[in-house]
Amino acid sequence: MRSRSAAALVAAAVLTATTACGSPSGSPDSDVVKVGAILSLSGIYATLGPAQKNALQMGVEELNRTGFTVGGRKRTLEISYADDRSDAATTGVTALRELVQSQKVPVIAYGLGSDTYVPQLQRQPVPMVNMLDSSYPGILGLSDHLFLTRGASPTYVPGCLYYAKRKLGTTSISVITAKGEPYGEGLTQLVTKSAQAEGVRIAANSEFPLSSTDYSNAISAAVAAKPDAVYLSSVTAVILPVLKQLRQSGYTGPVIHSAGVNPNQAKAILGAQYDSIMKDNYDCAGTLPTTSQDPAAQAFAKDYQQRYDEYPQDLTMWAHDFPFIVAAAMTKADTVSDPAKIEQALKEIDVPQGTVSGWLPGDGGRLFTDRNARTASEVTAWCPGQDTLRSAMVFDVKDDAVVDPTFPQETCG
Amino acid sequence: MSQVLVNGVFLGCLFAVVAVGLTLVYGVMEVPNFAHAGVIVLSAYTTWSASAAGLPFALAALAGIACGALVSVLTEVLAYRWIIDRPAAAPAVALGLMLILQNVALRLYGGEGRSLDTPYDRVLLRLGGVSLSGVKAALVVLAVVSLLALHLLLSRTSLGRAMRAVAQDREAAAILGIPMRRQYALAFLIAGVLGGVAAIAYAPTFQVSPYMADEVLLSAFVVVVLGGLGSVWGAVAGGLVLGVVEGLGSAYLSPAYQSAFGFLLLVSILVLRPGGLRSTNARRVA
Repeated sequence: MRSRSAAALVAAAVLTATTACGSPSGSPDSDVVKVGAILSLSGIYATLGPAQKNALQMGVEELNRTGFTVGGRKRTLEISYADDRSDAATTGVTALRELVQSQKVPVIAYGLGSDTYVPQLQRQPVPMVNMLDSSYPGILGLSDHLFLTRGASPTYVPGCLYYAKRKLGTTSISVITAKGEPYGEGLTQLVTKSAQAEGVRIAANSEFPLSSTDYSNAISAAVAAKPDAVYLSSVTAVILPVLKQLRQSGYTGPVIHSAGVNPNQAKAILGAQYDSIMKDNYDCAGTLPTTSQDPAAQAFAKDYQQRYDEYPQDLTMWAHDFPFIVAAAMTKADTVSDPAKIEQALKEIDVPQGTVSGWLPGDGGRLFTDRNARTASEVTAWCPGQDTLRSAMVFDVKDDAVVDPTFPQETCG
Repeated sequence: MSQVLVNGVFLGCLFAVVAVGLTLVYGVMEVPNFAHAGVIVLSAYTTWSASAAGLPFALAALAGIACGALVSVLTEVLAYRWIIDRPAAAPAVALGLMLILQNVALRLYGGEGRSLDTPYDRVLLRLGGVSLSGVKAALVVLAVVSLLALHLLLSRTSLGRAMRAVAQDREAAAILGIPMRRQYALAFLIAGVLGGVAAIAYAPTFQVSPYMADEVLLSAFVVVVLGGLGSVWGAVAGGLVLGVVEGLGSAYLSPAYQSAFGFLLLVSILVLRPGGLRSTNARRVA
C-alpha cells in the first residue's frame, strides 16, 4: 500500500514537472512579453556574448520604464537568454528549439550560426534578429526570417584599404586568415577585392586552422613578404592571440583588422604588454558609441561604461536597441505572440524612438531595407598610453567604394 | 627553412611534454587520459590567478604546477582507480573527467580568454634570419629540463625502476611486492607536473581559456601513437617529428592544413610501423 502511494506521488511529481517544463512561461497575451536571445556567452566568441547581454539588459530596463502598448494594454519585455557556447550547430540549435517549441517566444535575437538555424526556421518560422554577424557572403540570403541590425562586411572593409593607402602610406599588405572561420574568410575575400580596387599589393596571404593555438607558420609567411601592413581576418578572440604572437615575433608595423577589439578585451587577452602590442593598430567596422557624434550613442556609452566598467563595442549599441525594435514591431503588428505578423511589421517600422545606434533610415524612414538595418562605418585607431580608441575615419560605402569619408581631428585625449 | 625548423622544434617540444604525461599514464595504467587537458587548463588558471594576485611569476608557476600535480592525482584516486579492472570504461571516464575539469574552469573563471604574463614576454632572440620569442624559448628550455629530469627519475631511481616494472608486467610487479596503488598515483603525479609545466610554458604564447588544451591534446595523442604507446622516448621523438612535419607542411604547402599533416604522418607511420616509432610487444615506460 505504502509503495503504491509512493509510486502515485512520484508519478504526480513527474507529471507536474513535465507539464511545467513543457509549457510556455507566460500566457500568449501576458502583460510581460517574453522574447529569446541566443548568445555566445562562453567559448571562442565569449568576447561578444556577455557584452551583448549587458546591453540587452540595459535596453530592456529602459524600455520597461515606460513600457509599450499592444492591443490597448501596457506591456513590458523580458528576455530569455541561452548560451550557444560558441557552438551554434549543436548547443545553439538545441537552444533555438527550446525557445521556439517550449517557451514559444515570438522573436529571437542572436549572434552567430545563421546557417545552422535555417532548418529549424523552415519547420517553425520565427523572426530572428541578428545583432552581430556581418560575414560575407551575407546571412540574409539564407532565410526570409532573418534580419540583420548592422552593416555587413562590404560596408566597412573597403574603408580599411582606403585609410591604409591614404593615411598609412600602405602599398602592400599581408593577410592572415583563420581558415574555417566564416567571418574571417569573408573578410579576406573583401580585403583582396578592395586591395585590387585601391592598387594595394597583397604581399602574402597566409592561413592557420581555426583550432590552432600556435600561429608561427602563418606569421612567418606573412612577415617574410615584408608588407607595409598586416591585416588579421577573424573575430576578436581569434585575432588577439595572433596579434600577440605577431608582435612577439618582432613585427612592429601597422596591424589592421575588423574585429571590434575594445581596451578591456585587449587587456584581458594580451596581458600587461597590451598597450605596446596594440600600438599602430587600426580597426574598421561599425561606428562605436564612444566615438559617435550622436548624443544618444554618447549617452549610452557613458551609461554602459559606468554600469559595467567596460568599454562599449559597436555591438553593444545594436543589442541595446533590440528591445525597442521588437516593441515597435509588436505595436505595429498589434500582437505579442504571432511571429508572422511581427516579422511583417519588422519590415515596415521606422527607426524606433529610444534607439541609440544612429541608424541610417532607408526609403520612407524605414529601419530595415531588405531586412538590413545599418549604421555608418568607421576606422578607429588605438591611443597608446590612454586605454582608448579614437575615430580615424568615418565613412559610408556605396557600390564597393568609400563615399563621404571624414577624418576627425586627433582626439585621443 | 631555418625559421620553419625552429617553429617546428618549438611545437615539437610542446607536443612532447604533453604526450609524455599521456604515455606515462597509459604505460602504467592503460588509460587514455583525456582529462590531461583539464589538468593543463586548471594549472594555467591557477598560475594566472596567483600572478594576478601579485605573486612573482616563478611562485605563481610553482603554484600552477602543484595544482596540476594535485588535480592529476585526484583524477586517479577518485575515478581511474575504480575502473582499473574495466579498461573498456576508461575512455568514457576520461572524457567525462575532461568535461568536468573544463567546466569547473568555465564556472570559476568564465569563458573569456586571459593573458598569462611572464618576465620574458618582451624578449626576442635573433640569430641570423631566425627569430624566437622569449616565451617560446622558455617552453623549449622547460621541456628539455623536465624531460631530462624524468629520464633520470625513470632510469636512476628505485621509484622509476618500480614504475617501469609495473608498466612491463603489472601482475609480476605486484607479486614482487611493488605497491601498485602508489605507482599509479606516482604516474599521475608526474603526468600532472608535466601538464603544469606545459601550461605555464604554453599559456603565455596563447591565452588561458577553458578549452586552451583541446587542440594540443589531440596532437599529443597523435604523438603518443606515433612514438609507440607507453614509450616515453618514443613520445619525445614523435613530438619533434610531428612538430617539424607540421612546420614543413605549413611552410611549403599550406598553414591552413597544419593539423592535417600530422594525421597524414600518423596514417603513414601506422601503415609502415603499426607499433609506432619505438614499437615493442610489451607496455613500457622508458
